[in-house]
Order: sequence, then C-alpha cells, then structure tokens
Amino acid sequence: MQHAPFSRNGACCIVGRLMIGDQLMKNTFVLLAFVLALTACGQANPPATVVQQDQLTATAASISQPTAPSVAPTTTVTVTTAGSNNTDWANTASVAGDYYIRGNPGAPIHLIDYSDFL
Amino acid sequence: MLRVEPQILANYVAKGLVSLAFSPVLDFGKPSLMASEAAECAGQQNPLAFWKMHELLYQRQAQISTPNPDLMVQFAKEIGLDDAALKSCLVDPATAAKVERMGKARNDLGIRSRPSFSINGKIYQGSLAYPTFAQILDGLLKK
Repeated sequence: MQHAPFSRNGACCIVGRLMIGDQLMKNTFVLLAFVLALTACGQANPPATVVQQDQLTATAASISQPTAPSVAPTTTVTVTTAGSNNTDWANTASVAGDYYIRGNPGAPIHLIDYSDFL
Repeated sequence: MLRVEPQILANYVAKGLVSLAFSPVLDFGKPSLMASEAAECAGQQNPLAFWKMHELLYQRQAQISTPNPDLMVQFAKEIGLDDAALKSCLVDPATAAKVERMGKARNDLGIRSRPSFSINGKIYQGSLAYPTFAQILDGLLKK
C-alpha cells in the first residue's frame, strides 16, 4: 500500500513553528497547544519499515496456527470409536476360547449368558 | 434364556458396544446336553452358525424335551449347515466333553440360578428385565 507520507506531518510542523515564533514564551496555554501539535505530528509519521503483503500474510498465518505441543509424540495411536463404522456386529461372530462370541470382540462390555436351551 | 436378547442385540451388540457369549447350563440332563452339543457342532462349522442354532433351539424348545440327534440334524439343514458333518460331530466324545467342561466351569463359579449372567466378570444370578440390563450396561459405558 502506498502513502503520501509527509503531507500531514509537514502541515503540523508549520503550525508548530508559527506557535513557537509568536506565542511560546508568553502563554503557557499556547505551550500546551504546541506540545499537543507535536504529538499529533509524531502520530502521523510514516512507518519506519515497509512490510510487504506476503510478509503480512505470513505473520497472520503464523499467529493463527495452534501452538505446537512441547513434546512430540513417540507413538501414533489411532482411536476408533466403537460403533463408528458400518460393521453389522449383530451378525458378526468369532471364537474366544470355548466361547462363540457374537458382536464386536473388542467391545467394552462382555456379557455371558449362562442358560439352558430347555 | 436371555429373553431380552433381541433388545440387547439391537441396542448394544449391533452398535459394537457389547459382545455376547453363551455358556450352556445342563440342568435337564441329556436333552440339555444334546441341544448344547448341536449348538457346539454348528459353531464348529461357522461361529455365526452357533448363534443361528441357538435361536432355532429356543424357537423349537418344545420339540427338544427328549434327546433326538435326528432332530438336531434337521435343524442343521434348516439353517444351511452340513448335516453329515453335524451328525458326526454329535457322536464325537470331544463335543460332549467340551459342553460338560463349560457346564462344570459355571458350577465352579458358584452359579446356581438359571439364567445367570456375567457382565464384565460380575455375576448376576436370576432373570433381569431389560431396563435393569440397560442401567447396568449404560453405567459401564459411562466409565
């Protein structure tokens, strides 16, 4: 982005110089006004460093990134939520020891039915 | 019999939250043993066939009051199993030995009521209504 860097700054300095020549030593009120005028001039100064658009983008991107963990994980763990896929567990069976298991063998709950067929 | 099994299947097993196993109780002697052997022999052909036979045995419970190998073979045909293989399995002493071993294991746990259930190792003796099952299962799932 291009600016007209010194136009406002120059006007402010002229006002300041007129104040110095005519009234500075006579009126403290004018001194105060002078100080305020100089302050305004300072605020209008152009930026000391021209920042390119790509630098701004890079800075913004770095700010928006989540903070990286301080310790890198040593093991990658894949978490699968039970029932999150399309497996028809009610029609899935497997063998575990003496048992015929119906359902997800890795389910969090294992239910054994002790019953007689009669 | 786990009378609430259809609800547990639909609400927990089908979702992968609960796995279900069956352990035979042989309180009615030879008919109980024959039915359990038939289920075991079905399972030897296909683990899911164990559960198909399990369902069929309960559906035809009135027919199995006496030990009848031919009836078991007929059941095997109905669910698409190899009936000759099932017939030979029924007379294999290893089949009866396994079923009796499982029955003894239940007795060794001190389980006397029929039915009884083990839920993550905790024994519940006697029938449980579905709301009670749901309360227990939901409680475990929240942990």
